[in-house]
Amino acid sequence: MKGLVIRPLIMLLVVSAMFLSSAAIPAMAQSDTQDQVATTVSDPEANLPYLFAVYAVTWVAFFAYLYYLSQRQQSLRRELEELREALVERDR
Amino acid sequence: MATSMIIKKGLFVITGAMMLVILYLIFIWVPTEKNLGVSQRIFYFHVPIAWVGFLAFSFVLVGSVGYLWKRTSGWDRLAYSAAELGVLFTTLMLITGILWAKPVWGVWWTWDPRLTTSLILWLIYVAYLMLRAYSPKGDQGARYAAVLGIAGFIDVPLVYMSIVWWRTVHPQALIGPAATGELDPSMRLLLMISTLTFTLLFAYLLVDRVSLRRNEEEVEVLRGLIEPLR
Repeated sequence: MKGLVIRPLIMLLVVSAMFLSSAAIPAMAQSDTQDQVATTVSDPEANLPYLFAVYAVTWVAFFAYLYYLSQRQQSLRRELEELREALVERDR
Repeated sequence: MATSMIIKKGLFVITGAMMLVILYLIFIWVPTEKNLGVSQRIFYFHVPIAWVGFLAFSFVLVGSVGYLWKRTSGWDRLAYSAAELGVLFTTLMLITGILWAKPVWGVWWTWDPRLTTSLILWLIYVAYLMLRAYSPKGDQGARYAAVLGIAGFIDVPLVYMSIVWWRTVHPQALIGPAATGELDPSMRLLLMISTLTFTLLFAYLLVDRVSLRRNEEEVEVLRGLIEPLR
């Protein structure tokens, strides 16, 4: 009974904290950000390494994720076959 | 061949071809922006990736509401798969944003409202995946995650509207109802094509991830049937 009351209370607290932080942190942060950053680019060509880094990171991440999906799919199919065979063996 | 397999292969071929086309358009066709230089070309990946992140979290919302309403595993499968993809795309959004900020703002990171709310969004859905990993299997874990999936979505409009509601150094919105940013017509066209391409990539990955999740669940069920005998 105690757990039934405490659990929703904890969840309510976590969710409230989440909402408050979502709204309050940016509001507190906004005051000093504009003084800190510059928005001019003196030599545009000097930024090529950053451009290269963006495209490299994005492609590597997508290929790595696709590779993970295909490897996991293969291993699951193998496991499924083994489990089905084991079930057939059990029923004999 | 099953219909889902045909859809998956079709999406893969179309997305792959469109990726090559947008790379040509980004590096050869579109003009260089005069103020930001070549670093502006980061936008053609950064903005669509951010959009797809939001789209993925809307699927988490739909899947979570559907699960709490119907209690069928299909909805939960959709929510879980979309959350994983949302985290992938949001991670890339943060990384590409950081790599754009350094040459343009002179800092890797600043506690700007847009950046801060985006980081919070990423943390919320990383927490969602951790909850899925450590909570009990079955209905109880799925229910906890569905509540977090719905509550966490509140941050999506906050991220989008942060550049309107708070003072920020982040460029204005280029896509959606709050879009006010000025853009050359060829750049706008390319941004739209790139957004469409990334949306197709998301569709392909979602179909693939949902089918993987189905197999994971089937393995769990079969293991449950066999384990008591071992």
